[in-house]
Amino acid sequence: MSEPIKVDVWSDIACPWCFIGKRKFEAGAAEFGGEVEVEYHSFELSPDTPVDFDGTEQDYLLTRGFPADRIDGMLARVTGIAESVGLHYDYDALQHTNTVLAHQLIHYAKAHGRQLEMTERLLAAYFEQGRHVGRVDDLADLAAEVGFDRDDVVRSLRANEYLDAVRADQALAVEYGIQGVPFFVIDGKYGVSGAQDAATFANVLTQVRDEKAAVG
Amino acid sequence: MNEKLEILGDPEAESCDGEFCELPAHREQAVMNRRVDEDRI
Repeated sequence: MSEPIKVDVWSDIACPWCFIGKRKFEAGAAEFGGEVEVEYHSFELSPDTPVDFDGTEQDYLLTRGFPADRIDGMLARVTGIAESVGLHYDYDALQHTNTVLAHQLIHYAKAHGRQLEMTERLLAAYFEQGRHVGRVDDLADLAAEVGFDRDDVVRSLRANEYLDAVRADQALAVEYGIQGVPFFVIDGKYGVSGAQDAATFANVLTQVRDEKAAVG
Repeated sequence: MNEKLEILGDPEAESCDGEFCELPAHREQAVMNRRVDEDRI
């Protein structure tokens, strides 16, 4: 039996293409059919975002200089593409926030062997359910829903237990030259940027498997 | 980009770079065209 193919994924919770790309990658991995080991890594798209932003996503984009006449159209297009992969984005309910604590929670979950489940829960909470993913108590609620000890999560987040791990991921992203997310590093050798089609992921995984088989 | 990584796939695939996560302009047009085609069906 061959070893699983390692896929390292840099992403942010507040990244619409990361959730869409996650679904497309999962479809590609299923199409590929072989064993894949996925590990998520932290990437903050907007680290200076306040934890409690008082306004809608449209308001947030306006504060960042996004052209007002293009915001609704852009969000509608992203929402439509999300729907095409089975995701139901709700930008009216979305609560824009800083994601550094959410990344720490993902590292907490990784240390406890449930990173993928926590990542999925956070993305769905943010984009589909209008849940806040920037405050300790809200994150602890989400962690408890996944099955973690709520009090221990609160302790970990308040102590910034995994902040160094977040920063290490970000440093590695810089080392790789990653500027946008999602970004997939496959077998430490190939880089795939963005929410690619499922077939692209399947093809890359197949290529890696064939190359590994060829070298024995 | 790090020279150790060989980049594969569509270089124009949608991603978030910085704070904005827009579709590339030509891809917006492609999506619109596809929707028009789907509406015809």
